[in-house]
Amino acid sequence: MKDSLQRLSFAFAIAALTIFPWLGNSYQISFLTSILVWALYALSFDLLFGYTGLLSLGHSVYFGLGAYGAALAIKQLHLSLWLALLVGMGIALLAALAIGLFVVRVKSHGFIIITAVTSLVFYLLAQSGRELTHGNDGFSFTTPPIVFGLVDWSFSNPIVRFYFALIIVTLAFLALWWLVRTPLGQAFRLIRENEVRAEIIGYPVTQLKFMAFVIAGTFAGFAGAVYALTNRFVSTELFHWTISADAIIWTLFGGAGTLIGPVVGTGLLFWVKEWLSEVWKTGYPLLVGLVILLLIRFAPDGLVGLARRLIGRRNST
Amino acid sequence: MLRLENVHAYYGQSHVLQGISLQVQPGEIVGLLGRNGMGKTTTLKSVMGLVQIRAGRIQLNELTISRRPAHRIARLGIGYIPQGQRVFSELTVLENLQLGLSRGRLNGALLDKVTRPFPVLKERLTQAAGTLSGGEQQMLAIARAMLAQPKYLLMDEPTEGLMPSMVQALEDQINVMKSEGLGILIAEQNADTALRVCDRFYILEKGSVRAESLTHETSLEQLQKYLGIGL
Amino acid sequence: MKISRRSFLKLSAGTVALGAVVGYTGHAQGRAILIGHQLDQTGAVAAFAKWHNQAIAAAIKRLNEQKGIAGRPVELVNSDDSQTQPAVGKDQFGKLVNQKNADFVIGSVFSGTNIATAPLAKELKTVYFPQGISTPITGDQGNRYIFKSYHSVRAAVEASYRWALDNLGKRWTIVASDLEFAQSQAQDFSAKVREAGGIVIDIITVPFRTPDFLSSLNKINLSKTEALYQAFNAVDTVRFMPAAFEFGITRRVPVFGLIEGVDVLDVNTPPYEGAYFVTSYPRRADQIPSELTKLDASYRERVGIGTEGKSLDGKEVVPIADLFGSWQAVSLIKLGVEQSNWQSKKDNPAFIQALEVNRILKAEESFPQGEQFLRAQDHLSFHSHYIERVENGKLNVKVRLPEGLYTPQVDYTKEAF
Repeated sequence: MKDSLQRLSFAFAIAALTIFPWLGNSYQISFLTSILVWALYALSFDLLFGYTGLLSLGHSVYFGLGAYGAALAIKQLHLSLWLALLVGMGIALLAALAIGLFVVRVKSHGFIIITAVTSLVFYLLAQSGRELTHGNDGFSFTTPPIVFGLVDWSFSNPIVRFYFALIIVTLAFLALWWLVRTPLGQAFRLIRENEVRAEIIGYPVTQLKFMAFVIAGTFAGFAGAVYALTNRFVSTELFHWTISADAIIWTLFGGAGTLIGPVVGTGLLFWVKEWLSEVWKTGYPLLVGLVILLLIRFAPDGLVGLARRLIGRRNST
Repeated sequence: MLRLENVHAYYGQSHVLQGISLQVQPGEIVGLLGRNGMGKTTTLKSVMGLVQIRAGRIQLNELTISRRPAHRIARLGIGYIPQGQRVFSELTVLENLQLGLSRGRLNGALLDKVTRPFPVLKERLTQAAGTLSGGEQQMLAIARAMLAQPKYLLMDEPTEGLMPSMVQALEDQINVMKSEGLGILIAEQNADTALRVCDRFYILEKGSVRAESLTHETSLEQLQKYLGIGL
Repeated sequence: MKISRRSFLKLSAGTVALGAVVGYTGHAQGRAILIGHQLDQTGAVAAFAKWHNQAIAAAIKRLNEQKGIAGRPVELVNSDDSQTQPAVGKDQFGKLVNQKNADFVIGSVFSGTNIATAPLAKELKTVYFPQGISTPITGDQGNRYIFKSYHSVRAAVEASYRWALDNLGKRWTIVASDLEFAQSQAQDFSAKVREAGGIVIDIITVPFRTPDFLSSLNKINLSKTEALYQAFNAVDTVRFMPAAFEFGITRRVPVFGLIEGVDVLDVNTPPYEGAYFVTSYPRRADQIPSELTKLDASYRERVGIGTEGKSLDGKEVVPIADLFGSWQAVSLIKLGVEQSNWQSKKDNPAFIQALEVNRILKAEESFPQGEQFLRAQDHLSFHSHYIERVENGKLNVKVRLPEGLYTPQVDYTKEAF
């Protein structure tokens, strides 16, 4: 019953998104495209934080690597769109494998600190590799069109970018949906609830954390690659730890440990930010912060948790 | 046979286990008695691999299991029910039970078997385990542990905080498990329970075994003197 | 059929309509010409951007007093805060064009933002007037939709390097921020020094907003260096110059650089004393060449700049020269619209072609910086330069230099629209 309702809402959301290009102008379509991309990034973070209980401050590393991987694959190697996507994801995967080996052994606060350090290190590396990365100034490039048969869709068209992002993010969402329902996904949740208990009933916690770290990093890299392809501009800001913090904020805002939470959180915060930035030009980061504080005070389990409690209360009376 | 030989373990600088030796045979219930802070829980944790031992060794039959990770030890057939909250509170009762099975799904017959001693669990299969009472959670933990079909089971203060009726059900179940050939090591402060269910017991003091005794040779008064508590 | 905002929100259960909520505004005919400003209200160039915005507003006000452009009123549309961040500025450009319906956009002062935005300008077929001066903006990073009514780094270097080599020294050490704007200077200046037979001892790159200049200053080989070229954004200059002063560097070797790096700073402090700057307009009114003094007075009055180059309340230093880029962009828009009989953005190719003519722009209220040359190939305007020196806390003109024409890197006129 609950599942069928979820499926219905999902189908409805996809349908609404699909018709969106007929309703919005180019800016709104681009705006929604970036929400989709960042939502995928937040989802990847939630797999690590919400599902496995690992608070990483270094998630921007994989997003940045994915973005630069795809961007450089196009700019320097002149690869096709799909290969660029794979390159971005692959580089993030390799980095997550290498870094994961070290960091997942570190527990609780140590993990937060060591992942924050990885973010700092990669940011500085990216800054110093100016020839390749172009530093804070970044660089633009032209995403190759989607070509097969008679079809030739250029990424200069916001609608093409939107559907590209929509299809990819939907597929990734479904993949994560499936993943969290597998025994592996359930094992992640056991670790979040109690590592020791998971270990003593036979779950190899360190290995499972490593897997969660690598899968989340790869998805973040995937999101980064999609960001690069749709945005057609990358800069080293993508590696900055504040990008990691964004993932935390969006996920907490929407509701950690659910798949809909990060998506709703990202979307709403983007919208709040957009709306507030018109109301109060330069003060909006403050107002966004206030909104987040209020939410965390009154709904620590995020909007999804709040909604669940409200629905629960109505059903019980 | 589960055997500890001269096991030493530390928490930071403090020498918590100072050469523990003990053994548990299949089909035997062994008590580990002692006041708080004498090393009962640490002994169980070191068997489980949750505390790294510095010296000595722990053997499961011919296999040395010390220095293996906890999840391996669990898979080798040692179950552990720690003190305090023992279940995954966000999962349902059924999901918690399912965790006991390393493969396959929980079928009706198996479910009936493990919930027979604790019929209340069967009524609450879809309820989140965190909403159960302490006693019910303890039952759930035991039922889950049974599904994993361990050869040995370590229990830390299983009767702590339970209502008398629950204690009775629990003791019955422990005896059933014993009859099925399970070796059970129980850390216990309650001399009463210990005398009722254990075949033998070890008394720990300051991280080493002070005495070893067969139950029928020991009186409650003697034991309480050891444990340093009046009735 | 258009679904209203409210019912659409309901329709989509509030979760998916996020992009639609910003609201719709119609695109009326016969309306005002909208000039967008990619405005950095925060970040490293905010102090410049505020004044650019004021200059654009003043230029538009002047046009509207004279019946606007081709009889149509002109309006200024500001972006949301572009934050001196290329990615944000680029998105804000998109919003200006697609959401706020800007017809033309005057760009950020931040070169990184300009470079990030340029491809989007072409994609959205919108003419863009970037205000950053890094050389590639009117080179391989630009395109046919880019016009610049104020010099590039290369023009400033081209105009001044000979004087610097003849008067300050032959052996140079260059200290430059890792920003595009500064790297552009390091590249162009070092190339010119070598070409003219001088020696570049070292190019020291310093991270943008570094907490500490000591390690960079330590790398300067003072025994070999005859003159120091510095290239920083003002947020770094304000810390670099005092650090160099404390090290005694500013007293041992002449320090040279573009005014753009200090143009919002008061130079009446010891670290700046004696420093040389290439400028494209004297900061102080009494240094203005005589033929421009009348235009100068009127320009200062309209933008709100005092005779010492400060705001009228005397509290802020105004980047007076820099603002010509924005002021004159408004004038170029007027020129292009009138010459091409531009009606709407579909006429942009005609607009571009109308401006794509090698043309001398006479010194007048529209181009108060002085006579300048708008070059067709790279859409770049060339004007006089000055060497100014800080003497007793004041910037004095030492010499006026010609415009620094260089070989165009590109020919946009051959590029498809």
